[in-house]
Amino acid sequence: MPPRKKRARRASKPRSRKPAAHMPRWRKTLLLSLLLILGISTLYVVYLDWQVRSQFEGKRWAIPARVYARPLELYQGKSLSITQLERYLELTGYRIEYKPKEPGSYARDGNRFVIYSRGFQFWDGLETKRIIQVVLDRQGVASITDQASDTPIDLLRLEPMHIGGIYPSHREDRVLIQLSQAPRMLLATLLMVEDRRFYEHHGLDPRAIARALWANLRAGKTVQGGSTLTQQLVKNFFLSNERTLWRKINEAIMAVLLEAHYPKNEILEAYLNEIYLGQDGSRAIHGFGLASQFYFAKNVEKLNLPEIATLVALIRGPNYYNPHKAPRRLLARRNLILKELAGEKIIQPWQARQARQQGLGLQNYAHRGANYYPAFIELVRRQLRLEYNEKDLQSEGLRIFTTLDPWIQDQAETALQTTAKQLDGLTKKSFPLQGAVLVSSTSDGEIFAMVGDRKPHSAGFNRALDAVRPIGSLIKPAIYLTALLHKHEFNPATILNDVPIRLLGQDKKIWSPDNYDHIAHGKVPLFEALTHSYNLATVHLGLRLGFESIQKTLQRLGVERKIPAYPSMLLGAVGMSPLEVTQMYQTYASGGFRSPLRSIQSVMTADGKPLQRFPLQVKQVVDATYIRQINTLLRRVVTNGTARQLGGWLHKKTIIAGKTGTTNDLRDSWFAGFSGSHLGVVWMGNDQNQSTGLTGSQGAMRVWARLFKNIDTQDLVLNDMPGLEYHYIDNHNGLRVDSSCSRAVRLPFFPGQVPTAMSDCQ
Amino acid sequence: MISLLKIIVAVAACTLLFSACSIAPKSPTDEIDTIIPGGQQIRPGAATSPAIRHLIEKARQASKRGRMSQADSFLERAIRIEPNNPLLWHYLAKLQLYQGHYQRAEGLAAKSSSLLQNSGRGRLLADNWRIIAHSRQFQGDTAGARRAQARASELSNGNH
Repeated sequence: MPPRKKRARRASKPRSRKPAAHMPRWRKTLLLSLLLILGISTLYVVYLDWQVRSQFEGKRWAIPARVYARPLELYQGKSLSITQLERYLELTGYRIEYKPKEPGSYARDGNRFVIYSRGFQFWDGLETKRIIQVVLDRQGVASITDQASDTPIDLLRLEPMHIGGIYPSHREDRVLIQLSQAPRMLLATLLMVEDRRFYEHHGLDPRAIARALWANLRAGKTVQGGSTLTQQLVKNFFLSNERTLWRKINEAIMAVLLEAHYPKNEILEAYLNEIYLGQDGSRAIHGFGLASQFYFAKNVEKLNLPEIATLVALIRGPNYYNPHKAPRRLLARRNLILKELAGEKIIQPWQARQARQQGLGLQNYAHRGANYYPAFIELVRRQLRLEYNEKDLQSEGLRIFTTLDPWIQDQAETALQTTAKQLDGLTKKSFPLQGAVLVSSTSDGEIFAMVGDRKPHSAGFNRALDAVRPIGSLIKPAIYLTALLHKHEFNPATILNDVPIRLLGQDKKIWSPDNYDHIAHGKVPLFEALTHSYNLATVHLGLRLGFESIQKTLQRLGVERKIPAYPSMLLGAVGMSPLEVTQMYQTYASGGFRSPLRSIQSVMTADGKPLQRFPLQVKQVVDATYIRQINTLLRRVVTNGTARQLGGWLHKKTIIAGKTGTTNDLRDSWFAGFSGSHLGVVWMGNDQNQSTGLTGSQGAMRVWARLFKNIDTQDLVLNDMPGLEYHYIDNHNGLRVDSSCSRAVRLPFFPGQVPTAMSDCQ
Repeated sequence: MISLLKIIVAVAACTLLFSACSIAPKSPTDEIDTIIPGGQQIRPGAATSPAIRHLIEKARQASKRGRMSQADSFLERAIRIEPNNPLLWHYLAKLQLYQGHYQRAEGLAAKSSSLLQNSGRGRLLADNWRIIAHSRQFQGDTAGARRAQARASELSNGNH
């Protein structure tokens, strides 16, 4: 209903009826001017109406998708340290207390935790809130007990960490809430303090205005405001603080218009998300969602009574009552509100008394945007965009459950940051060192962590997804695997030629590759050539195999990009993003099974109904025996080859395999390595594509080591496999040799593959 | 005509797999029961930890009630906890087969078998080959199905 028009018509009728034929001239003029004024004001009101509606429409209903990390699963025997558990509780907003009395709190006594969980609706069921006791020992979780019934619990999930939302770009910094999410106490307090007659008035409250006017006249200055919530909301739309009469009139008109168009609850919801509640440096804190996070490090649903009163107290003047600059002033106003709440019988007097005794309870707020992990969220967003409409993602309040592991993510961020800082001195200042890290689960392709910048919280260029750089020697395992797949021609001990070669390159120029140590090693066994990443041997091998068969292998491994068929490809003159490299290495790490890398497990609707699952998929693309052969060689890269320093950098002797990668002029430093459970891919370089002075093992591998040192990871399984036989080979000549020989290397062969001649180990 | 052919092929494939199998089971619960056997039917040594037993039981109940994606989710959780447990991959493969996700079923069954090396569990290996045979049959790969079925019979005849 457009009341504006009605009112305008009604107002104009009495005037337009009167004019008669004999109208004095002055009356005509007056009438004309009146009509003119009326016309102009009508137009003006139409303009205001358009403005207020477009502001409001742009904001309501837009509840961005909420994105969660993977929940912590607790069960007996789970590897978990005290630090890890405490960090998880911190990230999910648990508070440490002497005795946990409400959900979202915990107590710790040595290695014994008492946790009052909040409960959570997951895809496969509800995890109820309850008090549990978790005892940790050196191995991890020793026991979990339900405190109420004193019975052991097999398995339990803590709530997942809320890691951000899918926001329209201009509103990144909001934590939007729905009216239903707001605690009833917050609404009651807000209405009592700011607008008691909110549900009765039509945008303006003359009684409140009169009362405020009277109070202000008596005090001789402005002490009270008579603005309704609607007026305050309108004021917030047009972020200006001038206090002119003209503005007040505009606000009043717009408030009435807004009320005419929209129901009360929508206006209230918009208010909750729009109201200005403070400042964090240059960033304005708008809305109760963000304010709860900012001041109390918790979600709005979890606010307690004194916290609610504090936030409502701030509305009057977030700067005047600044909790850091004027805590006493704020405390006094909060307590006044608590007293009034009791006076109005909204709470019991004892509740008010108890609440008033509490401090402000402000939490230190680490400056972060609405998204904790912008690089990962970007990946989630891209994967979601394949299936959902961008607008739905920003407005339907979907719940997205991701594969992110907050602990591993933390370790990945720290590892990159620390290493980059350490290496800054070695590189030119004009080309700052950058990097990217990806960690995935070897069994199912779920992404645990992703870093796209050495400053992990900057949401700029996402190198993990978008830095497409030559992969250097990371391509070599695919060439050697191609050779091993031709099992009648090649085996791990086949002799290759590591001798100089001159080829006509794609640009019609002569290409003469060289080894990193500038030495041609002559005849070398295949496994040694990969261990030491010999370029010449690899080029000779690659030419023998042919580009096509290598391209086919890469495709099988999961590389979707078209791989060029020119010789420098054999040394990795092929651009790939760290994500693509991870997809390729995933297949080695999982024993020949390709799984699409996933960042999302499931999607639920805003009200907790299952919507979509992203199921676990595996496809066997290479027989496990060949993968066992190549992985045994990649293991040797770590124990004896280009990555041999790695062992010393990791304190535990976990069995891992990996490959270093370095490109021309040391522009890119890569390392891809995997254990039995985790695959990690690291790239370091700079955005200008200039030399960093770092090889794969000097840069990326350091990051990898620092990261893997701090996560619980399983040994890579390399034990003897049926279908393969194991023989000792002399690493000088590729012949069989007695196991007592110092050059003997134990390697897997297919039956009939092993060389018959024996080496004398001389 | 084609649909009749399909049914014939499907029935043939089904009989390869389960003795009591039909395209549209009248009482699905009877059949689902065999996807994830309950209680003591869980193969010995395969699932020892209480957490895994708990999740298998949950998956079993969910599948009995026809909540297949819920059952999938429970098994995937179990796999996250014990990724090298071949039985979990096997159950998940069976669930996919039942739901008609043949490609997925084949991949998961192969994964289960790849984790079975050394352990001499010929029966599970044979069951995985049957899942693969069934999946291939439904995807129209008759020759592949026959090969897989041959592997299954070979294993069942006590070669392991």
